[in-house]
Amino acid sequence: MKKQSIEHTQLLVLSLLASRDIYGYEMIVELARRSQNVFEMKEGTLYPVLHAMEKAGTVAAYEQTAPTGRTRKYYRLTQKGRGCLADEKAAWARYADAVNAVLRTEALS
Amino acid sequence: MNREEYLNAVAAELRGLTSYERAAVRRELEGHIEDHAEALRAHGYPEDEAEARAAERMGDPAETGRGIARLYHPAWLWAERVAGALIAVMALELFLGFGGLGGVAGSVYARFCKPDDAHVTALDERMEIGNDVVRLYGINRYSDGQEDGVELWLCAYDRVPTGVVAQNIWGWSAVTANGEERVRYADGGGWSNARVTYCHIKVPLEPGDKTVALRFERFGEAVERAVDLTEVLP
Amino acid sequence: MRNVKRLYTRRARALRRAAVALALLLFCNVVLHIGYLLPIQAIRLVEESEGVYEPTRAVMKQWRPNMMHLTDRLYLNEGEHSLSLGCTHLTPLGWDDSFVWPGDAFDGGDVQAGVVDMSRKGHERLLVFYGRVRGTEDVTLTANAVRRDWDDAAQTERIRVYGHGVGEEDCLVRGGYTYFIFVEPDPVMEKLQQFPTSYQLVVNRGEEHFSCDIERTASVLWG
Repeated sequence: MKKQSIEHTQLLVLSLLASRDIYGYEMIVELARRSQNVFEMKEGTLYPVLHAMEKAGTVAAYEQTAPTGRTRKYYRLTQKGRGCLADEKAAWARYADAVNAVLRTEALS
Repeated sequence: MNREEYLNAVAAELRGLTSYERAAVRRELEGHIEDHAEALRAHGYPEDEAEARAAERMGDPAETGRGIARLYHPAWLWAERVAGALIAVMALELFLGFGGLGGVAGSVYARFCKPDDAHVTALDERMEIGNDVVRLYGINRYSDGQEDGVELWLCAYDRVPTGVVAQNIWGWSAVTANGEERVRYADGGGWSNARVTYCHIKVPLEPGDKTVALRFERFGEAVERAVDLTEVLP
Repeated sequence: MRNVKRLYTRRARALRRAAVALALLLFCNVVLHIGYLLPIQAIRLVEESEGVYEPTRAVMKQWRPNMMHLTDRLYLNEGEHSLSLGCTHLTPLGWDDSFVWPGDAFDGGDVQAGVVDMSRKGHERLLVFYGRVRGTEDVTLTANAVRRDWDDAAQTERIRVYGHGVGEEDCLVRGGYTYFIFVEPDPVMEKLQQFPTSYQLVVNRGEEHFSCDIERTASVLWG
């Protein structure tokens, strides 16, 4: 099976940030791990998405210097982002249900 | 493509960003490539190859650069600069006009001040004229051989401590006893500024005078207050 | 302790700075009375310190660039009981260095007028005539400066009157009154190199013709 290029990146990012604050590279790693490498993207294209979310106010960013001396830009879910995640999640569930419903009827007929 | 080539190619698209913003984007992407290269090295990739592969996995730098540059609207940058210029100007004004705060303190002090001299009886009569307040804070008897009378100690200030008081408020006052105008002598005295002004008035009295009346009148505003003299007269 | 630095978007930075600028502006305006962005704010402040408590409105506003300063602005402000001439100009501290000469407009007379002479080093002495005259049609005004001297030889007083007609562009007809602000170089100073001793306003109103002495006078001198 051909690896799927990522869609609904915003929903995935929001859901990754729901549990803790993470930085860009960590997101890529987490996405690959949680989707068993189904989701794969050109890693650089994650950043325009993150910056757009920052501008929209669903996430906020801060820079933190690790003990190793490396500075990383962490993203944090805002109050607005939490609301957005709940909405998008519900919308996605409706969509997935609808697709599944269609697929089921096809199998029956 | 190595790390530097990738980062420079992204930066080339970020012309609309300030150097500060560009450096922040660069730091973020650089950190990503370093993290990835480190992970690859841990998996046994040789030094050079790990970094080249990490940079390769970032995809098209121009696309990423353009995607980020689109998000930085120049209007907000100009708004920030204009607001910054205004802050600089206001900070200068604040520095130059800071002495005005002393006047505010003076206006607050005038609300509670008491006469300096022991022979002056403290009073607290307030009358409002327009948005200013005239306060009679002291009264005493005087006698200089030729005439007897009372001295009135007055101050005036705006209703709010940050406001200004009418500077010539004593100029439109009238002091009467038995309906006759009696002011013999008036002077400033006390600490006056734009927010507070003091005045000290001598009122000659004749036997039988029991009250003096203070009257202020200006452009449609008029207030009058009679002061009982029985406590200060023998 | 790890070093954490919050990052802000352009919008957030701009809004934060604008909020700081606004707070500073309000503090300067309200507490220190400086940094006014509008000339009328500076005029209103001086009105209060002159005891004009009632609300007033600007009947006439005039730009007089280079009258005494680059950005001089004159206001004729009217309230229910007062009529005042205000003057302000733009300084490094915003609109400032203002003066107001209020007069009583309550007496109900037909003419309320004042004159302010202005001097500044390097500028010629100017007379600013201002006021209002009851009547709207066919009102023409002449503003005069008068010099009275005792002539010893003739044993009489010598009266010399110089003046100019107030142009239509310096008048405004509104609500039953003709308002005017008229600025001219002091004609007595120009002709005689002496100060005027008094001022008068000559009013032509329809068939009527009369002159009145202007008692409300003030001087202002800038260094």
